[in-house]
Amino acid sequence: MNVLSELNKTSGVRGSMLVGSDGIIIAADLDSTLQDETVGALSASIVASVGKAMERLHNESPRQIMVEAEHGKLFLTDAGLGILTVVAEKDVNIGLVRLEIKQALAKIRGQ
Amino acid sequence: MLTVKAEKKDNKFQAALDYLVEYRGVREAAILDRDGLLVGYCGAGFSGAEAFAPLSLLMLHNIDAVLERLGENKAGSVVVKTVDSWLTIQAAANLILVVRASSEADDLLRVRIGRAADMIRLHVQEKYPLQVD
Repeated sequence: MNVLSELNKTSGVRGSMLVGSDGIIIAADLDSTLQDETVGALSASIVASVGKAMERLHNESPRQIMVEAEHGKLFLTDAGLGILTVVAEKDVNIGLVRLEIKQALAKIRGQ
Repeated sequence: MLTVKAEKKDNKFQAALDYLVEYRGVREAAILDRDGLLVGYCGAGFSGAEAFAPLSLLMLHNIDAVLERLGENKAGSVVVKTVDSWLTIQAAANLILVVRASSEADDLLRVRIGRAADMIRLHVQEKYPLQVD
């Protein structure tokens, strides 16, 4: 998918994928150190658990989740037909990634 | 009256929460321990601290479990954005800082959250030095 490869050109982005809410991969372009199936399943798992908690808390569903871990950042964004997952390095420019995600979402929704 | 003032001044957790809640758009902020118990709370949100604390911790636990499977350590912070609000869950020493803000709040809030987490870390380090990782 062109949209993902464009997104991956952003400095600090290690890969991206589009995954269904059931964890099934729609498209993936991750670097070789990351396993598509694992990242896909775990992305869906995070979105489902955060979604449940947010609904109980404020009756709202999450649009974007950003997780900062020791070795990197994970951006999970509702893309309508699934979840757009972006794996990035720890010191990535968050604003730039968010901007690129926004543009990618517009393309995905327009497709 | 003087006693109350002195107590308030000495409560550095509350000072960190006040520092957050005075920022534009921030609705509520809480400090939890790793068992989901409320250490401090400030704000006028409708969710109330009773639901806010355990559900935020539940989210963090679920994310940590997922990260562990990816070979990562625990999450340093989690930011959840919804249509009109955002929730930040930030680890601070052996405690957890949770902040809920409306879309009115800007990205500078991240700086405040970082500073408040530092205030909490420092206070824990000073008061309970053996419990800090």
